[in-house]
Amino acid sequence: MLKNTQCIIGSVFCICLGAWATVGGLNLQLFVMGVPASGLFPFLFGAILVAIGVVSLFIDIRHYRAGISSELSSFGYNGTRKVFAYLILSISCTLLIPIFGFVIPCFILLFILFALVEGVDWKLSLLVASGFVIFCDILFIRTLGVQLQSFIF
Amino acid sequence: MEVFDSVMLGFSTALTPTNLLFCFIGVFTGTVIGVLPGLGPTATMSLLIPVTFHMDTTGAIIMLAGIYYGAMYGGSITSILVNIPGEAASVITCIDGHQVAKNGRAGPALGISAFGSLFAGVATVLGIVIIGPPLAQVALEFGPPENFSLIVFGLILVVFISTGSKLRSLMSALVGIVLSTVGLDIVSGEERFTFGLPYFLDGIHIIVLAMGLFGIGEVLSEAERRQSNVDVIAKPKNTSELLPTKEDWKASYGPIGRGTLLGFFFGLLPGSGAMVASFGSYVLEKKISKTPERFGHGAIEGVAGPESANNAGAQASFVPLLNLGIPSGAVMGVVMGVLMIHGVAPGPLLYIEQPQLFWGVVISMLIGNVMLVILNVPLIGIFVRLLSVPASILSPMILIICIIGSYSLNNNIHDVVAMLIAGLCGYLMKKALLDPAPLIVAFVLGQMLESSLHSGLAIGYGNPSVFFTRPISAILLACAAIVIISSASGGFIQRRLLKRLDSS
Repeated sequence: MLKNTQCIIGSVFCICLGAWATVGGLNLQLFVMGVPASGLFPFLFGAILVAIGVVSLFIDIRHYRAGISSELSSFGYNGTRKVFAYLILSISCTLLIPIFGFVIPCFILLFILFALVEGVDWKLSLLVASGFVIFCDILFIRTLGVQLQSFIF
Repeated sequence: MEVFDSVMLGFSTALTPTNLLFCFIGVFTGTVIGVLPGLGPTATMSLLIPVTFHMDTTGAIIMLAGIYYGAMYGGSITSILVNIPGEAASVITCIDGHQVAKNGRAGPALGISAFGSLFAGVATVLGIVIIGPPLAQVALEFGPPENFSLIVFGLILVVFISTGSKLRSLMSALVGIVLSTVGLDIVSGEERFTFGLPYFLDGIHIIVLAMGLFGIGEVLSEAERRQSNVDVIAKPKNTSELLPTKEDWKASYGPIGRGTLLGFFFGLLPGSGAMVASFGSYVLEKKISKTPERFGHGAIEGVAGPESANNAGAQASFVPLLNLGIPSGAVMGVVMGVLMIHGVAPGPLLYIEQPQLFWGVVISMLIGNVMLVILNVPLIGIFVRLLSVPASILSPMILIICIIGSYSLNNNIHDVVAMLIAGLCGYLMKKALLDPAPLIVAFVLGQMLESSLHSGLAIGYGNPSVFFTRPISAILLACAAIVIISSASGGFIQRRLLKRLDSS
């Protein structure tokens, strides 16, 4: 049943987003002296999103009750753990870049992802991580002029 | 004569050493990503956007176009040899392509696929040369109400012709439109949905969103499912083994011609493009074949038709973008984003104001297709070997490229964080059966839709009837309504028939 629950949550999220845009649009005013104001567009499309979301939610709930499962993939324990690891490590790396520069955080991120998350042999991880970071440093920072500091000490 | 001069201008632009190099980089990268399952053209183009900042607009679009149609070639190699479609438009080639290869005729299957794609590519360029300029002339007559209706029609096509749940695609597109309203209002300059954060004043950056949804979203989804080892069918050793026999040619020229026509037509329609074209071509060939039972067991027509159709569809999908300013799918949405970053507004004026860009890109497709055939024949072995690079190595590398790419937009760490959040959203959207492709198209078109709605209403003194009383606008809205009604009634009839079948 988890698969249908995912669809229901998706529809509810869309309804909330639509409602937020509709209310926000109303607060911004729809017309000023007969001329469309900045709230009209988000109000219109937010309201349509709410309407479509409600129809979709109705269908999802009917499918849920009838036990019809959708073709989407559900959350697996190992997979979700990996996804979280990827996200947390990427955010940590991003926050470390202004402190240490690009090379060290990215190398650590790659090494941890290869060796600990993906289970690649540690020597190969070390080799590929260092090689790829050097490649990126040469291509993006030195050749294409991306304003990232390679190292900050 | 004018067309001849334009084509010559296209050749002179596309044949400059720099643009030739970009074309080569594009088709090579496209073939590589076409070979690698899981990394599609949209994700790759999103990843390469930062590289285009340092290129001129024509070179950048030539490279991105090369990636798109190059991916069609690459996808067929793995479909035929390994039975793994490198990208969505090559899924159908697996059915007969792999069977032909299993029967010991991998070479002719690859050959027919390459030559069919080359024919489709050349014919599509001719088609664009013929219909491109008149289409742009017609689009020049459009005012804001017509533009509004055209965008609505385009979005409806993107949503309703695409595969999967129409309702969920529509929701996804509406989410894209709502997200496009974040930032300063284009008309009044008023702040909207910024939560008081200065970061959102300029709105959400298209590249941050595209990289997140397609790059990071794909990395996270890929982290969950890992590919098992692949079983490669014996690949051809030399060029002569790639040459189809006389019988192969006889069986294939019809499917190649029909696939090209079908692909060109579907490519012009927003929402369909290469994937629908290849499926349509397969179904058509099977239907008109005198021996349909051969399909699924190694019919060469099942390779020739879809492969020609997907290449024609990929190239023709540039027509609505460059001539009307309407991206026909996620890939074209990213291309449109690149054009906008470079300060170029796609649409009918592009053909007049920047003819070297329009014709340069069109003619580069001709050159790129020739390059692809030359490239594919000797390098098939190397491309197939790429399949042995595990996703566990590839995914973290893509992550790093995304981080650098999003940072390079404004040299701002907030863009990276926003991209990672967009990536998580992309991953969760897939979990909730919400396709991110309509979202990105709607997001790109959101501001245009809003400005044409405002201008249209201003023309009608606030009266929305202006959208229904002007003939072209009314026709376009009627077409959009027909697409919605036919799609909804089709689904209803299908459900009723299934119910009746169940009960009987």
